[in-house]
Amino acid sequence: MTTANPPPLPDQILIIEDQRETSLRLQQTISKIADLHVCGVAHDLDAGLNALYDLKPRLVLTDLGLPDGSGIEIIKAAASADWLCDSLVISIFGDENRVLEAICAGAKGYILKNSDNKMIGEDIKTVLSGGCPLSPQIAHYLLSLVKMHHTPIEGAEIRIALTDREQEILADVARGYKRAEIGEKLNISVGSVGNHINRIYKKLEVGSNIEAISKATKLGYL
Amino acid sequence: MIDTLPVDSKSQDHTVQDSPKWFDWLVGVFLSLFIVFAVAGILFKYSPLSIGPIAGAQMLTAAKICNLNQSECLDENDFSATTLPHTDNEKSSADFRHWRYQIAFDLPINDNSAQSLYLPLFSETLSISLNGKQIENMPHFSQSQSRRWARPEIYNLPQSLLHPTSNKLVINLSGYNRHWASLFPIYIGASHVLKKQFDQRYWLTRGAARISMVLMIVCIIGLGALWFVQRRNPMYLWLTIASFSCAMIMTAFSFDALGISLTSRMTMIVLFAAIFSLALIKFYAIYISVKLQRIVFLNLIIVILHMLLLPFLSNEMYARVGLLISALGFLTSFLIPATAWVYRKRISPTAFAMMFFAFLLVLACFIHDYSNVALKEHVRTSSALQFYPIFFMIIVVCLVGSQLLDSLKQSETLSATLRDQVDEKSRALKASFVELEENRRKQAISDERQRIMLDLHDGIGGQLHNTLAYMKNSDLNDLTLENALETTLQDLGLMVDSLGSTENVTTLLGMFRSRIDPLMARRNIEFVWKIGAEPKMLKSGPSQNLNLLRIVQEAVTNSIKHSHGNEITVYTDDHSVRISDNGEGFKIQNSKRNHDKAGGIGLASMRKRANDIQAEFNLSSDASGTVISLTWGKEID
Repeated sequence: MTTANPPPLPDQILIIEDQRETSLRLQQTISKIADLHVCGVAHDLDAGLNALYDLKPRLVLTDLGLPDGSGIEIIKAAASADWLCDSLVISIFGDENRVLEAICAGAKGYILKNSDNKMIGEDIKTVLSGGCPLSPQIAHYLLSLVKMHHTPIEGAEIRIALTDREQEILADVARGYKRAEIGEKLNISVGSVGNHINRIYKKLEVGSNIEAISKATKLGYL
Repeated sequence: MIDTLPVDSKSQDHTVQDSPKWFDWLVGVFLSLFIVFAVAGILFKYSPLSIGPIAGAQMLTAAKICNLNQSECLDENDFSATTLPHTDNEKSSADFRHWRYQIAFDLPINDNSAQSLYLPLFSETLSISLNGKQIENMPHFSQSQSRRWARPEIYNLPQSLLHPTSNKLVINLSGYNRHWASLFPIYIGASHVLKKQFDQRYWLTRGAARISMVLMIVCIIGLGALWFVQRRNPMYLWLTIASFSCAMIMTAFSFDALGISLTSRMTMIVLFAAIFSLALIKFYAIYISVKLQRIVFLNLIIVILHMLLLPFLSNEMYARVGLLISALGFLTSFLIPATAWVYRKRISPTAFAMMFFAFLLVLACFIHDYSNVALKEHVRTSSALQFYPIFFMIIVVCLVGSQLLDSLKQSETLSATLRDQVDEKSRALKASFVELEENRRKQAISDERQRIMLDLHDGIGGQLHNTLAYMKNSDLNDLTLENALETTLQDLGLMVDSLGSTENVTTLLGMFRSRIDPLMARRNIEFVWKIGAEPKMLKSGPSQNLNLLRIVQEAVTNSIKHSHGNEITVYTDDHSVRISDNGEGFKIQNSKRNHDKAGGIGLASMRKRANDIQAEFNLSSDASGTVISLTWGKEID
């Protein structure tokens, strides 16, 4: 990421979603959240890519199944953009295979289409502040990653040194516990749970390691 | 059957372990001595080579010993009478001794058959004249270094030279010093009678020696090849050496002239006899896997003594020192059958019996001939050494045979093992093919499932959601439709989840929670999330997971819609899943009756699904709330 270009306007959000009503609803939901501004809405891949480079948003929300291609292209473009641009997948179910594929391409996670304002707001803000919204199945995947600690996988050197606490938190996230509940269980603040999760993300280099995991899964190691 | 391990450190342990007592050795030595001397004695007594009267021929034993300076024994004073066998027993420093015998004989009356002269045994060379006419003149041994005593001779007597009475036979005998010059009784008789005798004796002496020599050469080749093939097994090397020694001894027996001196010839015999003994004990030590270091050492010393001393000895010295060393060698040799006796339990009884008696017979042959030399009496009418290689062959055949049997057994076992292995591998291969096929099938099913799910997801899911969004965007407050759409979406979500690669029920529950949370939030209901251990269902798989999740979803949705509570607890441990709320409960009978109307309590379907996943389904409801539990593998309290 170069600093030559002027920094994009803070909290500018681009939505790429082919279902009109869904995108409209999402736009309305986000607009209601303070400090967030939807700078553009696109309904296909081509328009989405153009909008991405034209608008240089801070965050892209993209559907994966676009009429003229996959949203993965958007995520890849955002990841390699020359300004800071995070991406989240707009998912109906948060189903793992496609979300994992997106995370490998550089997405930070996903938001559910039918989430309420509060949740969408929380997730987006987590991403914008450099954090990660960790979903159960991603946590589950990361746990498998820790378990295959000693299993070298072709083309992917995996180095994992999670603390017991971090593993505990990961396991709880995988079982569906919310950050607040985890904090309560472990007698720590929600903030430190978030910090732990961010640290886990950094340690595991989630994007590249999930790729390794899915590779391992296909090869039959897991 | 037979242990052929080469000598190693382990063998020494054995030696220590079952170290035989001195008594056993004593018994072994005495038993061997007894049997050997008994056999040698029998050979002496009943040897087919003993010289005695022959029916149909005259045995001539009376001879005159003549003055060597005169061509004929004319004068009474010129000769002294003697009886055959006559052996040169006089002490002399001369290398060669010469004797002249004159023997008179009459022809039998009325016998017109051709007459022959038969000499069963003499040493070393001779010339013969009949009635003044020479009929035989062997080359002088001082040039040819020949040794003839081990073979008989037969001469046809020309009819023209024979008189009816007073025939005069003059035999000039030359021999080496000491008792190497000797003449045994001679025979005159019908040619066909004596030829038969000659043939018999020839085949039992020189003929046998030559056969033995050939046998030993065959053994050298065969055993040498075995040694080479059997990864240099030293056992075969020692047997090859033993065979070689035999062959050398038999060579000394088989030919008149070898181009070497008598001393060398005798040295050859005793030296190779010693080497034979050493090789035999080395072979046996390896064969029974015992080191036998002392006995081997003793044999080695004997061999070295022979090597060092014998070539430098004169005939006279040889007769004394050589005989002494040979005597030592014989004593040492007795340790071989004694060893066999002591360690008899290390090999099979048959192998022991064969080898033990073969050893004894070999020794008996040696003793028999040794005593011939040592006793210096007129007893050397027979020799037995030419037969010992045949007894040695018994050892070889016995060994090779048993090895062959052994290796046949081994190869049978091996091929059986191999067959088993091949069978096993084939089965494994077949199984892995089946597995591969199964995996391919599963992969195909999974791929197809993914494709269908993707279509459902993007197509139906997207459309349903869009419709839902449309309803909200346009403020169409049709709760029934909205509920139906949401339920459908949730169910679709469960299907997508359960068909994903995660088979973890707790993770699926977590995913379910993250999806149903928005609905919960809208209804102001909170989860009390108590997901602990992964529940172990009796069967696991996507459809089991889907059934379980549908039950949970149904239960949670029911609670959301009907309980009027504000908390739903989802609990798991390793054998159960429980969903409970703090609502006001309901009457089970009512719910059954109102099943269709209520449009989703779906107790019947929950029970059916619980049955499908082999879980005990339990429902209780009262004013404090409703509890639905699924239990596996444990009785319900």
